[in-house]
Order: sequence, then structure tokens, then C-alpha cells
Amino acid sequence: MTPLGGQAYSGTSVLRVEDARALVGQNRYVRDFEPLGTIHLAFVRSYIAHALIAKVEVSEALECDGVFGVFTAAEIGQRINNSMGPPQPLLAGKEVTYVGQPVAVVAASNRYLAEDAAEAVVVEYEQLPQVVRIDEALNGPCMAHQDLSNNVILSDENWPRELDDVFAKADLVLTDEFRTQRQVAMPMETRGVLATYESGSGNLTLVSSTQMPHLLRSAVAEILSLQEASVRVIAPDVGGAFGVKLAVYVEDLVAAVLSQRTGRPVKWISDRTEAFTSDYQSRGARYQVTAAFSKHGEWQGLGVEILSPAGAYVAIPWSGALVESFIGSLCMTGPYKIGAYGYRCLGVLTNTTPTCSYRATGGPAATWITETIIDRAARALGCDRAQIRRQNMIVPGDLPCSNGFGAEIDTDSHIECLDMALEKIDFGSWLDMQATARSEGRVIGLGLASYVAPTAAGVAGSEASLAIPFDSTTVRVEPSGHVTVLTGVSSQGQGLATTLAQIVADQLQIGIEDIKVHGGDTLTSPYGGGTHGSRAAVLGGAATRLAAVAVAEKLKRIAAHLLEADPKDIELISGSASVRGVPAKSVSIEELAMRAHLQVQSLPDGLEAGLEETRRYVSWRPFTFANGCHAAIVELFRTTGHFRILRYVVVQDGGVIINPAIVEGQVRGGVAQGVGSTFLEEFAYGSDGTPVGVNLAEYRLPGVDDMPSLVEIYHVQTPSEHPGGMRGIGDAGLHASVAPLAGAVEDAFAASGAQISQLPVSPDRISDLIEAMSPGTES
Amino acid sequence: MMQNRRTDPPVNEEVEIRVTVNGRHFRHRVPTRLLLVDYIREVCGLLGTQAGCEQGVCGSCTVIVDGMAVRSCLVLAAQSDGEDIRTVEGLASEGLSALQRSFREHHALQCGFCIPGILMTAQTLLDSDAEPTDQRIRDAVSGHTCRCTGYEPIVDAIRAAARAEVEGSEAVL
Repeated sequence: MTPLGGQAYSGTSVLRVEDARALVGQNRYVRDFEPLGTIHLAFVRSYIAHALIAKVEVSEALECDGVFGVFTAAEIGQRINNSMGPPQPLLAGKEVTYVGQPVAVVAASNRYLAEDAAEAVVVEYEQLPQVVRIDEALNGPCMAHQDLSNNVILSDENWPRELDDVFAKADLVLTDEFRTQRQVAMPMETRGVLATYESGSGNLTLVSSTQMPHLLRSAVAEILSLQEASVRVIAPDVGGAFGVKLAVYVEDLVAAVLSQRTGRPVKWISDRTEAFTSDYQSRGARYQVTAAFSKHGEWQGLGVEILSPAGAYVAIPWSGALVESFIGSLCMTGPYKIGAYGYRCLGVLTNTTPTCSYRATGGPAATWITETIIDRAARALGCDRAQIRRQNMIVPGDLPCSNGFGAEIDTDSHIECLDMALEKIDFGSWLDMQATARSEGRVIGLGLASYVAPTAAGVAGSEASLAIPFDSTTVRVEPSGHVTVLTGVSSQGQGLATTLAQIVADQLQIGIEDIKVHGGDTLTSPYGGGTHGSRAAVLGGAATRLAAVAVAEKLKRIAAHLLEADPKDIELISGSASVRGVPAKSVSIEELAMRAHLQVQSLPDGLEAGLEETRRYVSWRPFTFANGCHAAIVELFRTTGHFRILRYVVVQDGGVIINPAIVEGQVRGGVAQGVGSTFLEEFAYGSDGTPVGVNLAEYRLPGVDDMPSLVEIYHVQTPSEHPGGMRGIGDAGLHASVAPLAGAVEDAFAASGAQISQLPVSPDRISDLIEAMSPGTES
Repeated sequence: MMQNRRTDPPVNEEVEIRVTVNGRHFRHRVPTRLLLVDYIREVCGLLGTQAGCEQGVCGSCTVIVDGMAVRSCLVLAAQSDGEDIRTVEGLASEGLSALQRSFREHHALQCGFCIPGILMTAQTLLDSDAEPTDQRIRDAVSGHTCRCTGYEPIVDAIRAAARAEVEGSEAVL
């Protein structure tokens, strides 16, 4: 046991306890598990966006080497029911509704042989008209499913009557349609599952790359009519997720059904090509925006109409159409007090891969739109870009402050963050810098983004919710004095085993090396909502802190009894419990742990044996908010149409920080994804619904050369109301980073009046913009 | 009526190969079409090497073959007959190598999936250039995709590892 001398782990960049094993190649992802007797799956997927299935011929495939069986909807008839949309069959039987939908599955002794046989399955299709674009889905005659009468799965609005009056009377009204591109999160580890069913016990174990083990357990139990307590979901090391591993996928269920059918462990690992059409996608929405300002820069009104795609089915736990609309309309007002605000949201089915989440879903677009609008207002009114932001911001004294959507914003450091970002990026000399660059024939722009990012979804309204509003942790001191922590949040690389250990170490005053944190196994982890939506540190961290405090209290009670002192006079320090001010009267945590388990007769009367406490922390706040300001300077190049990020400054208020290096890693990774979202990535569909470029060479994820050499990160720490004061940081980096990058491009071309209203800002677009501002046409 | 196309049936032949992996000699009969990455993982049982795309783009499966960083998803095991292969498991004889320590100290990994491949490329760079410029480091890392870190700490870690080696110090800056 390492004495600490009262020093706190929290707030310091402790090295991650996860890293040593990853660095020597000992991380174990789903693909690394393979019990004897495992059979491997390969799916036969539709290559047509919408068609009837005339015939599936499997006889030739059954003759292939190593084939255990070939299964179609005739054998696997289960479906995922959904109150918002059509039921989703595990294997398509009558109709295929997107390219990539599984039609049949081959089980064989290894993946090579399974793929051979999958190629020998012959499917005959009768093509149907397809709905690909979201405007076609809304207005066109075609339906994404043959027996639908309407492609709309979601319709919501809150448009106050006075908003139209505000638009009619305002000094300045800005309107535009903004469009985001379809994206897919693309974690480096593709999805995978290993299902093992025992008919004797009725137990099913799924090793899955899921972000939400408990939710997947419930869904699998319900869909396969198993008892929830008979299903164990294990998420081992998960190689990144970013929202794409939230959903309940048909492949996990097919593997479970086939393990039931065959009595064998059944394994499927997605390859990268099928990830492009079978991983649920995100974004791809349109935003019709109207904004009103007074001539003095007061933001008087904002209205947004969001149209977003669900894809071919409504994903469980939530469709991308729902999250894009909900989070988008929730944070569209940013950190600003806007006189009147209204939104209308529509979500539609299309013959494309279903949508779900990609990190910060709804946030990047909302921040981009809000910040673009306020920049355009500043230009139109001749105001300073920073001042018009300050003028409209929520300030200390405004709290509690309900934003236009009705969400209570619980942060007020907006101006502080903005001003710090302006100072760090040297905003005062920006115009000179830009003019100098221009005189040298260089094109540079500066973008700013003040934002609020909703985190840690809590209790909202009276309905049941799949966004679990609480999380749970068990802290157990073992008889040796070493500590086991079991938590309902699970890691996909975020470093939770380190941060949660830091919290426990500080409460128990022991060394972090004496604490082991485990999550991601429904058999051992207390119930929790998994890791998504910037919830793990806020809710999981709070539950961990409460459980550790409860264990600390019990240690003090036992020590007080042994030392004949009042528990109130006992303090934990350096691995011992001591009477305050009398260091000689002390007992080690090892001894307390030994007594609590092996010598229970020495415990105070009425105290339960053992040293284990479980706490659940519920957030009664629908959302907590992180906020801050990002600022970027970007250079654009005429000949290549390429971009270079010259400076990138982040000022981040994520509440109290447990581990700065881990927080900065989250932010930097989010910024990289913002670079991809702004300049590089687009999942394009041809007019017939065929995806274009389903590989990593054509779908360009950000690489090292797309990034600045330094993302400059500064922290403001306004505590939240939750125990520990964390606000959640996982999403904020991406939530904020599209806006300053796209904003910098628009700023670079502001003189020519060019507007950036569509993502991505591709090399062609940049070249065109530079051509258009060539000296002859520049004003 | 539309129908999917059949490709020619696979050829299932085997070939014997002898390779050295992390200093150990192996002799195996393997299918001619077996990828080197699958040979390393499934036949040699070294699970640290990960296939991220099987398209030669992401770099996760990078191993060192006769001193060169090679994408093991683009090479057949059969082509590796007689070669000397080094994987992430062979970077340090015990504990962490200076390069691995530097990655840890710079928080240069999160989910860890891409890291074995990046380590092998970085090791190849450091073996050929004791004091690489930042541009050379970035060029080396540019063949890899990492979705978690934003790359900056990876570049920092490689630079610091090089510097520590040059200074002959065990401590990583």
C-alpha cells in the first residue's frame, strides 16, 4: 500500500493504468476471443437499395468446404419491433430496403470459408423504386418500404406565434439552408460479436463491442424471448466507438440465434467494407434557418426547420433522425439569449443504412449554424464579431436560465471562455495579420465558436427512457486491503479505469496502484447506461465518489471502535485511519479490511461484515452543460484546394477535471473528428442508393497531416451540481470544432460574399472560392 | 430481375513456410491465400497485431519484416517464407521499451487499437534515423489512422523517444 501523504490524485495527469497492456499488444477485443468449436459467420448483403427478394438459392453454398449451414429469413424469422417505424427483420425475407442489409448468413469453420460460401449464395431481386434523398422522402411518391403510406417517422415543432412577427419587424433578417453530409463514425475496431448459448441452462453470453452492455442485454432478452437474467453481455476492450456501437444490431442477434440453433460458439467480426454499409450512420440533415437582429446587434429571433434521415429502419435505442433533431434544436441557441426561438423537426425513412449516433450528434451542426449566423449578422451590421457574441451571451446573474428550447443552461462562463480564446489567438491583431497575408497573396481566415454542449442525460419528463438517467458503482475493499471497483459505465478507450481509480484513491487515501476498476460486464457490473453522451465521468464518476465515500465512512467507524474514538475524529490519511491530531493512534486500512472480513467479532455492534458499498447516482437535471470557445486560423491553397490549420485554440469548461491529460485527449480527438467533418468526410449515395467509395482510401478520415502540430487547450473549471463537479467532456471537442473551421473558411472569403452553407468544404469548393475572389473580382 | 455475380471458386492449396517471429523459428503449412496478419494472429497466436481495414490504408496491422514496416494485411503468409518478422510483442524483452514508455508518458493512446501498428512504424523510423525531424515523424505517422488521439501526442511521443535514446538516458522526456 503506497502512502500518499494527503496528496490528491484528482486534478493531476496520472499516467493511464490502461496503457501498459495496450502498448505490449495485450488489449483483447472481441476478435481476440475464440473458444474451441467456434463457427464463423459471413453475411450475404443486399447490393440494391430497394427490391423484392424473388429467390435465395443456397444449394451451391451448402456444398462449399467447411460450411456448417446457410440461413435465410425462412430459418431466422425474428424481427426488432419498433414503435416509431417498420419492424426490422434480422434477415430480410420479402424486401430489402438498403444496400448492406443482410439477406442470408453462412456459418462455416473459418471466416475465409464462410466468405467463399457467401459468394455462392445466389439472390434474385425485383428492383423497386428507391428513396435516397431526404427531400424525396418527404415530397416524392416513393416509399422506403413497399407497405408504407408515409416516410415520415418523426414530426415535432414548437414555433411560438410571435416569432413570425419578430421576423417581420426586425432590422436584419438572415435566411439560409445549411446542409451536413452523411457520415459514419468509423472506430478503428470494427464491430464484432461472439455468442455462446447453453441449451441446458438457457444462458446466453454475448461478447460484443457494444457501448451499452446493459441495454444490449435487455434488447437481446426481449427479442429472443430469453430471461434478462440469463443473458450476459461482456464488452471487453473496445477499440473506439463514437456512438456507432450504441445501437442494437441485427448481426449480434443473428449470432445469438445461430448459437441457440447450433449449440456452438458463433462469431462474427465486421470487415471494413461491410462496416461502411452496416454500421449505422449519422448527420446528413438539412436546416432551413431564419434569424432576426436589431440594428444594434441584439439577437431577436431564430427559427430552424430540421429535416433529417432515419435511413431504412428506426435504430434502437434511438434514430439519428431523432437525436439530430432533438439535440440540434436543443442547442441551436448556443450560449445566447435569443428573444424568440422556434423549431420544426421532421425525420424520414430512406433506402439508406439506418442512422444512429456519431459523437455529439446534433451538436456540430447546431454550433456551426449558430456561429455562422452570428458572424453574418456582425458583417451585415458592421459590428465586431466578438462584441456581438458578448452582447447576446448568458452572463453570470442570468442563471437559472432556460434557453429557447426550454433546457436549463447551468453554466455562465461563456464570456470568460470567449475572452480567453480571443486573447490566446491574438484576436486584437487578427485584422492586421489577415491584411498582411492577403498582401502576400495568401488566403487565411479566423473562425470562432462559443458553444454549449449537453451532457449526462438525466431524468426528463415522466416517460421511460433508454438514455438511463443514472449510473452505478460498487467499491469493495478486499480482505487484503486492495480495492475492486465495479462500474456500470464501460470504456471504449476513454481511460475510465484511471479516472475512476483517481476518485476512489482520493476518498480512501490509498495508492492508485492498489485499485482495479472493471466495467462492461453485465454479470459483474451494477446496472448502468454505458458510455455515451458525455455521461461516464459525470454520472459514473459521481456514483463512484458516493460509493467510495460510503466505504470511507465504514472504515472510519471500524477504526473509531478499535481506537476508542469518535468516528467524527477519524481521518483517512496515507493508507491508514488515524485519530485527528494523534498520529500515534492509527490503524492501517489492511488491518481494517482484514477485520471486516476475517475477524468480524471485532467490528462495532450492528455493523455489517465486509467493506462493500454500491451507490447509484441519478441526475434529476435533463441535461448538464459543458461550454467553451474554440478559435481557429485556417489557410487555404489555390492550386490544391487544400487547407492548413495554422492555429487551433480551445478554451473548455468541462467542470472539475479529474485528469487533465485524459480530458485534453478527449478534446483533441474530438477536434480531429471536427476536421474530418468539416473538410474531408462524406458518405455519398448515388441516385440509385448505391454508396460511393466504401473504403478508407475514398472515405477520407483525418490523418496527421490534416491536423495542426498543436491544439492549444486551456481550462476553465466551473463545478456542476453533481458530486465531484464534473460536466462531461467526451463530446465537446467535436460538438464545437466544425464551427470555427467552416467559419474560418467563410471569413477568408467574406470580402467576396461567399457563404459556407454545406459540408464538407471540399478541395473543389476551396479552389472555386479562391478563383472567385481572384484580384479582378475582389471588392 | 437482378442477380449477384459469382466469382471463380477459391483455390485451396497449401504451402510450407519457415519464418522467424520475434526471434522464434516457426515452420507451418498454410493456405496459399492466408494473409500474413491472419498467420501472425491465428497460427502464431500473437494477438497484438490488429487488422483495421484489410485494404492497406489504416496501418493498424503494420509489422516489421526484415527491417521494413509492412502492412501485414497486404502480404500473404506464403510470401513471407524465410523472412524475419517482428511484432508488437517483440518490441521489449520485458516491460516497456523506451518507445512504448514514451507513448505512455505522452498519453499517446486511448482505445489502443491502432497503436501496435504505429509503434512498429515508429520503431522502423527510429532504427533508421536516430534524430528524425518532426516532418519525418509526421510522414511516418501519415500512413496510419487513429480515431482517438488527434495524432499530436503520438508525434510528441516518438520525438521524445528519439531524444531520450540519443541522450542515452533511460528517462523519457
